Amino acid sequence: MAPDFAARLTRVLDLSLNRPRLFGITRGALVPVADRDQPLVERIQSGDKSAFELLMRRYEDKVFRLAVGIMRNREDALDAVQDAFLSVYKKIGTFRGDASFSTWLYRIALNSVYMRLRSQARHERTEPLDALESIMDPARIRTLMPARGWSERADDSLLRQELSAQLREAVAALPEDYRIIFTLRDVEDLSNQEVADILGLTLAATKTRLHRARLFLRERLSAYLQGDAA
Amino acid sequence: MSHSHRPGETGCRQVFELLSEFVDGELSAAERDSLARHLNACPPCEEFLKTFQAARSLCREALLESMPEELKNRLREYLNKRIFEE
Repeated sequence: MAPDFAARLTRVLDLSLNRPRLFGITRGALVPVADRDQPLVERIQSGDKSAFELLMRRYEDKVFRLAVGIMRNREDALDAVQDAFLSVYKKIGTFRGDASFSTWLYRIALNSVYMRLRSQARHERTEPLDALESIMDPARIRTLMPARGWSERADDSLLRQELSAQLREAVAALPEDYRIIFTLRDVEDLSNQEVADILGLTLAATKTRLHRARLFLRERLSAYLQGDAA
Repeated sequence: MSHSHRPGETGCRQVFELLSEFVDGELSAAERDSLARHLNACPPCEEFLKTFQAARSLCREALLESMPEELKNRLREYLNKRIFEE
């Protein structure tokens, strides 16, 4: 790797790390999403269609990212997103606020995705990775420790683009449930409890899978960067 | 990863296990303080935490793309026909 490339890489990672939230509470734990959505939900329930469009604009990117992450095809994802929002509109009269609106919406979105996949009869759920099964083994921890630091490397838009492709591949390599958990928690900023509610998992199972997914992605990024820097 | 730890203090293996709860702000004040003390004294663990956080941040950036405008338009056209033109 050319020296200037390495220097830029150093800045990418350093900027990612020097944010105040390094040791703090992530945004997902702080934003009361349910409160924010409730006024719009009530307007839709009373027949205000323009409020539905506002709600759709708020969530279309999020639902699309979730669908693409599972279906891996934008056209298929669009079909699922259309189904999901139509379903939300038709069912919103039944929404009572027992869960947050976003939790309810994501459940409907996941159902729409899986209905589409079943109708296509070509969905193959990814199998658990050996790498994930063993990632918490004590004997493996030593090998996971960084041989040398790459966290001091730097910020650069070109470099981030290169890393993006590598990281999307790494996320795609995660088993589907781990990928959904990581997406909802670390990309969409939902709380662990919301993710657990959406997927019908216990909080403990959700947190364990999230932790393994994060460790796996760290390992993949580390392997790429250390190999690239060699 | 090979240095000794005082009894009752957070060790390297615990750091490894507690990282997600640490970055998610879910540890008790006592656990957080103990882990922070360990990180201050253990450069490999501190580096591991930094790379753990960097991976999360960079993955988030990589995945945080918006729905393409063309698809958004098609979504709205579809819903306009099914909902707004009823």
